Amino acid sequence: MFNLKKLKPATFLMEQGEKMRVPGLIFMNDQSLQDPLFEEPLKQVRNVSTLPGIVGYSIAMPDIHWGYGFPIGGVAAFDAETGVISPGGVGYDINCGVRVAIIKEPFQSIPSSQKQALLKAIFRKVPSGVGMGESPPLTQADYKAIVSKGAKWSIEQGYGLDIDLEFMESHGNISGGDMAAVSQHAQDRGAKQLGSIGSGNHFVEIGEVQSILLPDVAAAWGIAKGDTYVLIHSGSRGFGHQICQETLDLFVQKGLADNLVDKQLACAPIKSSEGQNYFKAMAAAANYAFNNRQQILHSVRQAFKHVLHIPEEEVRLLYDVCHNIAKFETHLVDGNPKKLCVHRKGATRAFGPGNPELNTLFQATGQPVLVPGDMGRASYIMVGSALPQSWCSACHGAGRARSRVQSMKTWKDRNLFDYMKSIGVTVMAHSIRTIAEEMPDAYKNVDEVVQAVQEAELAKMVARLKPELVIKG
Amino acid sequence: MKRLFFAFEALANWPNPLPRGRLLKEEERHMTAAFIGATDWEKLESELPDLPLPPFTLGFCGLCQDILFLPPHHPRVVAYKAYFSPATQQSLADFASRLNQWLYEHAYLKKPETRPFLPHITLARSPFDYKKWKKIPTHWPVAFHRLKLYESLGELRYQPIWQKELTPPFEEREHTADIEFLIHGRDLPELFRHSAFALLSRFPEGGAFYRDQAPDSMDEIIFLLNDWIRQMDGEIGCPFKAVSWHGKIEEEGNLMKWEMIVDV
Repeated sequence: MFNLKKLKPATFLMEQGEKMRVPGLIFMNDQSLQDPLFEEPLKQVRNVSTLPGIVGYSIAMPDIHWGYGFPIGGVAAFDAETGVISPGGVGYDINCGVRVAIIKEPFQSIPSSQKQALLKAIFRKVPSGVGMGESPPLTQADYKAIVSKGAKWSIEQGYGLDIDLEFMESHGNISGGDMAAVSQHAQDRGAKQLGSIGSGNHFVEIGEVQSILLPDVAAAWGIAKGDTYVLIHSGSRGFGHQICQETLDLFVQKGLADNLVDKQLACAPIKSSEGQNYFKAMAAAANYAFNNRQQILHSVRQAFKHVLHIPEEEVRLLYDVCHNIAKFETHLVDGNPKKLCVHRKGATRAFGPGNPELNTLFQATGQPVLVPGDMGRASYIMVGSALPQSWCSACHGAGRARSRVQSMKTWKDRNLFDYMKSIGVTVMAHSIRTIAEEMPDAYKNVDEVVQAVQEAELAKMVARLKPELVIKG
Repeated sequence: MKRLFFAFEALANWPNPLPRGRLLKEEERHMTAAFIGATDWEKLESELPDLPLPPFTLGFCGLCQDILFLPPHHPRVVAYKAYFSPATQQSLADFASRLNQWLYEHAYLKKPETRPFLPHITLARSPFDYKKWKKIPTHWPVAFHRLKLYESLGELRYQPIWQKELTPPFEEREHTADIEFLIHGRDLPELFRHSAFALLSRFPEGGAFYRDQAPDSMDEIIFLLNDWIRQMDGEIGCPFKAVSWHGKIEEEGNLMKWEMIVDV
């Protein structure tokens, strides 16, 4: 259906056709392009290219799949003066993201009984599934502080270390948030959820750094083969979901979705009051998410301390990335620096060496790009290559290969826990259904996805991670 | 001779665990429309083409809000009492009345059924622990889209030997990233109701927060569903982020249908 022109390895051009304001740029390996599952998301790539003020390309990452309006695994940048901002280009789960921590304790030296005890301790300490956090409900004052301080607020409350902020995208604080742009409904919805994983595909994962693929960068980052890692995937919970939903509702009511091929593409000029208010609310939600992941890591550190007697500073945060966000960034456009609103929905920023936004360590190497796979096979730590055409972006995960319904049918009447044990993974969740829906074969092979990311020069593989202990939301 | 009764098959994500007792198997739970008892199956089978059928072609949904011990004075079963929209309740009562009348006129019943239709779903037979059963979850969602003729085999076993399919009020479909349902309804309020019950099939605990609504547009259906999700998530947490703005209502015969996609 799409006549894609190969430009270089894992990089294809969707030529600018009727109503498209820019071409599409598809990062994918040749084999994956044959998969009929890509037809619908590629239509969405085309739809995004029709939006006002889009600059460069409508971009698809190798893990692209169907989303609401914008595809998941999509990147689009808009002129900050003349372009639009769209909640569909960010996603319902604002600042859904991932963080990884490294522990210098060799994972295989931890006795099996202690691994199980560690998993159970984390399962007790970190609320997961459908439900609440255990902290007292957030007050209006708490929310204001979260919005203005970002993750620093949680650290001031005793959740974690000051140094953690150096190892977060944007230092754990997206500026510009304003609680005046956030409804009481959103505050109520998120008030009891801070510090919890949530449900669906969110998780805490612990395992071993299985292999080092870029030794210099790994050494600089203090990662060695055999180290223990913790990976946390969560977002802004009901607070962010409500903000996205209310914004979409408002945009629809105001006619901002009229004449769009998909209402979920609803967008407002960045400079309009609607656009400005959405950004303020989105930034507020982004900071809620940074705090959420900070508090989850704190609980994980407590578990390591209690079970393995490892002090919290030795559960070292390597990096925290957003993969559902819209950020104002300056990039070169036709050789000139230009301020853009970069939407990454199911995509990760991938700044390279020298970028002043990064801390001194990552300025030397480029920033970590975290790519969770599935709970059975692998996840990856990569390093950003700052490909200009992608607005310095990379993928965010493996992407689903199979629907939840299919996965349930496949695993019906089978003992999921026994199967996962047979492949060396202990999994805990409050819902059997969640586990069935999240089985490894429900996801694409992350090895193939990161291979395409590397071939396309979006990021480079640094370390392959092998999960062994998993808590699913 | 077979011991027979007509009932609507009850489909639900049942509470688990239920208190110990002689439980009916989940797949055999039902809402009786007419009880026949021991009867000449061959005669009935020959007359089935003339059986009065439900006047509605679309299935329906209800909430199990009360726990009943039946019969009241010497209970032998514990059951959920199901509540429906007033229109559905009336349609079911009318159908049960016509069906019983037909059975009486064709000599399957010795006397006319005069008791009012009591929509209930038996969960277990005695003996049971009253205190524990009184505490099982209520406001539990249940859906129906098949009228069946069951044979009672004894030992709490019921085997369907004939059925009439209705259009399901909702069906879950394949969707890679999230969850998708095909919803059917005769009007917008019913489309809303069936959309909500589709969500409840995944999250039955949300039944306590469900209220019938009267939307006058598809946009309003989505607003109302998302407001309900917001309320559930804020109070008890729920697995849904939001109902998306995907799709539009299409006509299918005398029914409306909508592909509802829900972010989870």
